[in-house]
Amino acid sequence: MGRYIASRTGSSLLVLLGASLILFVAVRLVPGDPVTTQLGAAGIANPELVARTIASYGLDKPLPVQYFAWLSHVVTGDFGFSLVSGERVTDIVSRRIGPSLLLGGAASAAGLGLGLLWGIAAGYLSGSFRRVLRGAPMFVLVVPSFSVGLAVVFLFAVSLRLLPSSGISSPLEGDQQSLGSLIAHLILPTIALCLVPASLVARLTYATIDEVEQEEYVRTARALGIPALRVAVQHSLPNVLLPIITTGGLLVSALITNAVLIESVFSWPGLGTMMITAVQQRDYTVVQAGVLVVAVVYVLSSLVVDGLYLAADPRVRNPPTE
Amino acid sequence: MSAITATRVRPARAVAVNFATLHWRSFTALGVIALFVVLWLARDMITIYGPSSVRPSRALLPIGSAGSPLGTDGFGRDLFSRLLAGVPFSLLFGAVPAFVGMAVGAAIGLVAGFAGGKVDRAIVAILDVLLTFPFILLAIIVSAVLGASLQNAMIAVTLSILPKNARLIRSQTLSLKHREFITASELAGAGPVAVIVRHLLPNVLPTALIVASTDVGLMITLTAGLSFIGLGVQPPDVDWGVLVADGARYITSAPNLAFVPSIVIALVSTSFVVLADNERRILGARQ
Amino acid sequence: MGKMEGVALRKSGALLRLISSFFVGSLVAAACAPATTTPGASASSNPTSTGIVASDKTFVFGIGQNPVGGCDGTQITVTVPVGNCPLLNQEGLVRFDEVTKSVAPSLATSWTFDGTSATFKLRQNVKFQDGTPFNADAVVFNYRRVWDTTFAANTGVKFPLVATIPIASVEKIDDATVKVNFKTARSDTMLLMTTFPAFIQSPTAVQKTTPADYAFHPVGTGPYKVTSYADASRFELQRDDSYWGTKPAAAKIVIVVKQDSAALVSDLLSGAIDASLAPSLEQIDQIKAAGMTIQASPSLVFYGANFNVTRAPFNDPKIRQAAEYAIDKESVTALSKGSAKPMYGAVVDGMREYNADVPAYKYDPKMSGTILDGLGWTLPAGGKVRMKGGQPLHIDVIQRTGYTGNTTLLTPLIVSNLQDVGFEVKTVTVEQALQYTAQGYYDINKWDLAVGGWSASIPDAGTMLGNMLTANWPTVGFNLGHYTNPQVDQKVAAAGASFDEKTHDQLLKDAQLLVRTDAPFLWIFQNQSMVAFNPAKVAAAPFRLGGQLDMLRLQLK
Repeated sequence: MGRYIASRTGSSLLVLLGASLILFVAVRLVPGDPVTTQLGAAGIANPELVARTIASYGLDKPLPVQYFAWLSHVVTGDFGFSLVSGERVTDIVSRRIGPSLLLGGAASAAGLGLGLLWGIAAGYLSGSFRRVLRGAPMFVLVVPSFSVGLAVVFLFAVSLRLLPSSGISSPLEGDQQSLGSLIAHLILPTIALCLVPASLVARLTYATIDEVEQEEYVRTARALGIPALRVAVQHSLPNVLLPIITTGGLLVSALITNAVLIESVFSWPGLGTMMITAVQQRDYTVVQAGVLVVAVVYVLSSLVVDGLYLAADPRVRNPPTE
Repeated sequence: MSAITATRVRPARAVAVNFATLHWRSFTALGVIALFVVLWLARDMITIYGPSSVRPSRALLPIGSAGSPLGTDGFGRDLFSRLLAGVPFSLLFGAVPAFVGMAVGAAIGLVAGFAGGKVDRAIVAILDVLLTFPFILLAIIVSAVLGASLQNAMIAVTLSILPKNARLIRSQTLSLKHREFITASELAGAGPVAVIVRHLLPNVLPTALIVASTDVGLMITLTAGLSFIGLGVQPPDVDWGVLVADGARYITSAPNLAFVPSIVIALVSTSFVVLADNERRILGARQ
Repeated sequence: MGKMEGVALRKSGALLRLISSFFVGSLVAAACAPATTTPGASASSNPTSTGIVASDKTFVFGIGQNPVGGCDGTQITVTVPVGNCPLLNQEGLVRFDEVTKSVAPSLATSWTFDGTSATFKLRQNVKFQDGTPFNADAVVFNYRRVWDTTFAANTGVKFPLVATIPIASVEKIDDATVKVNFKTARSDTMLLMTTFPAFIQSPTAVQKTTPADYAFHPVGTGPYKVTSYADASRFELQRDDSYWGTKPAAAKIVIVVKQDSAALVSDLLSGAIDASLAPSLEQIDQIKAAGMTIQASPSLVFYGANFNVTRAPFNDPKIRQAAEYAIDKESVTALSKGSAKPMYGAVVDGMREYNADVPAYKYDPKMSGTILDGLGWTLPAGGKVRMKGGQPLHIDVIQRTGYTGNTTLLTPLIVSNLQDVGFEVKTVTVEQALQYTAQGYYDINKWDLAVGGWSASIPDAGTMLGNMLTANWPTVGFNLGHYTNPQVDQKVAAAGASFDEKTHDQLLKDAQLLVRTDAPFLWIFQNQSMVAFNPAKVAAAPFRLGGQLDMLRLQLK
């Protein structure tokens, strides 16, 4: 099993390396030289300034050299300087990663919990409840998450004025934000973001429940009069965990995508809004850093998911060689 | 292995009834989509004001106003007219990436699954790398590199569903590879291309089509998201995602501007998904 | 002198392009005629102090754009509206007095200027915020740092706006006197000396750290110390009570940056911030209804579109005039909720040299129709596009991505209005980053109308007319449509060389008339600097013409 973990980690690293290469090359392919763009007409009037700035960013060296220089810096946590604001990108990213992880974590937890409840209800209830609960996930997945975000803002923030409509804090709070205020700001974006993972989890849950309910031993147990709840807890639920873990990667991916949109709706100061602005401003160093960090988070979570899978299913110790 | 309901033999009379009941969802979905297409075709006849017509005196009219049944935006532009102008973009955004993404993905999957060995491992490695980028990150990279535009958004979206499709078709190919009819044709001297095209392809085609059809709905929503954050269609071209973004700015004074296009996106996406989903269940195709 | 701003600017109503160029500028305002000694004005020369009472209050200000490049005035690339921080922390030898509209003493108490050089008498007993003395050595260090490429402190630092002031060399005469020599003799030089590149930094502080770090921890002589700038989404300044001049009202200033203007508005309404720059248009009514004050102040920024005069149809001035009449400029005020004012000519009204007698291109679509009909461009029965000889009246309009605030109404308005009078309009979009490159606006084959805006960095009309000069074709300047009229060039040049106010003004007025007839630019609106503030906390929030909120003249309740 140790070998398995080592090999998965190794392949993940390779994958990340490949991703960083793609990313690096992609950004360098951009038409329009960022330095001239940023300096604007000051640069047009002053070619010497342009040359010096290009040299200071190392943009005049051959691509492979640039790549390795960039990579060696990245590995030590140095992402360079923002082409737009001049700030250290590491500082920008470290400021932004907290809110993103917070929102992502809250939405994952909420999504998991909500999804399980939803799935169980859809699995065991009957009649029209059952139909509605089972039909809803598909619907949730196609309704745009940003629309849901806007709806939530409209309902709770604009109409009912219960909760703040944007941001992670109010400006005067600065560093001394109270936990209550943080939670108040976190509620609406979490609600908006958790619906997608919740519906994915719900679908898996009731599908698993259906399957398990068909099993001989469950029907036997029922026939013997063993209470449904005990059957559910002892047999159905544990089986639900596996599919959820297996599709964990998909869940995280969907979460990340929707997180960027939700961050935009709520002006949440996370990596998503950072990257959107950076793309529009052609701030390549920031775009690179953002994409890389998110990719790392994603790969890490896939590794964790794999680990959980191994731990959860004792039958699988040696992966099938294909 | 697959989650299909077992097919049971039914008496002939019941079949006719079941056709309508089985397909009513599909008819409704088709109806919705067709409605939008027809409205778009007839747009010059049913709208008074064009989608780009700025009329300062008609700014922010509410739903139900004369001449603008769905209201107007901050520049006095008719929302209904703009919704219709977005129809071709949004539908294109859904269909093209879904089908092109499937065509290319399936090709890759077929090759990888059939070839096996080093080729397969190399392809899988590349797919894995692509998969480290959740959809939106790919879109961001593509936009950063190529600029934000309709075509580039479609490229980004296509790239992001490629790996999933490739993997799906690959695993199907793998399980089909060792079936007797393949081995038989190989023994008969058929070259790899012939095997793929004449034997494997027809067998993966149903899955491919169904998955692609289901994806259309999802693609519409995803690309609306791209437009929402400004990485898709650029003004003055209009698609529904852009309309939601524009409307979001008026959420306090004119919520219809954000919610009407949102409802339209949801409606059309759901219709495509329902259509594909329903047909899948009816045809009993493997997923 | 015009300046162009980098494309990094985002959500504020004022999107500026500042050109760093060599327009022939024009005269300085009346108070500073060259070859004479300036106002030996008294020591309390800093912002007109009526009504400004130093208090212990904090002023929280929300803006929509990330300040570019830090707080070192000499290193910034864009000055509006994010030039806030340097204006609070640093000063130059002279400053532009927004009230008297003239060059006034600041770190220099008096000066002489003869066109090619200026000798400044420095203010005594002034210290930098780190306690080191301000003296001639400091001035020499600073000017050499920016303009002398052989100087050690100049290496590796970006000084993007350095070419805007033609400083050739600087010499210390004695501890309290400095002489600056200029490369060219221009009458607007003293005005230029009030701008950012000439801001004075503490030599000790500059040399203690790297340029990149210094930009976030600047030390000047101004009334505010930067106490926290690490987080570019929120930075804080503390009033330095040992400041030599009039103490401004706020004891502490907090500047909050949020890209989403709607979020700023809700912060304003909830009392979390005291003022918000360029509130989003859609919410102005809501802001007013909540009891906040919206204030519009004139600025030097204007928007419209360049005509490509090198090819049909806009190579014909009559068709350009038809286009001018087609635009409903009067509607911009309402559409922009007061953040824009119609502009009918090349110079914003409010400039002393503004020629009010130039006939304005008011909205008159019928007149457009008449002109076009007269040229043979007629509407076929039931058609919407004018035809002549079987060809439609087709134009390509080029724009960039990323418009915000009132600039979002530019392209829709232009396209809609021109379509209404029978043009067939196709829109071409380029990435914001590529706007002023050969892949964008500089490729004159791509467009007939180029949507954009412009701004002078100093308030004089010669600079504003700079956009119309032959010398300013791309890539040197922003006469994107390659317009040329030697008479205009000559008048503006003569005005720049003229030190007599009456002659100077008349020359520029003549130039405006010529430009009006030629109509090389589709003028649409003058931008107003907008701010929304809480009247319970703020008594007055004046603006600089350059577009920044003048926090030194702020009056708090």
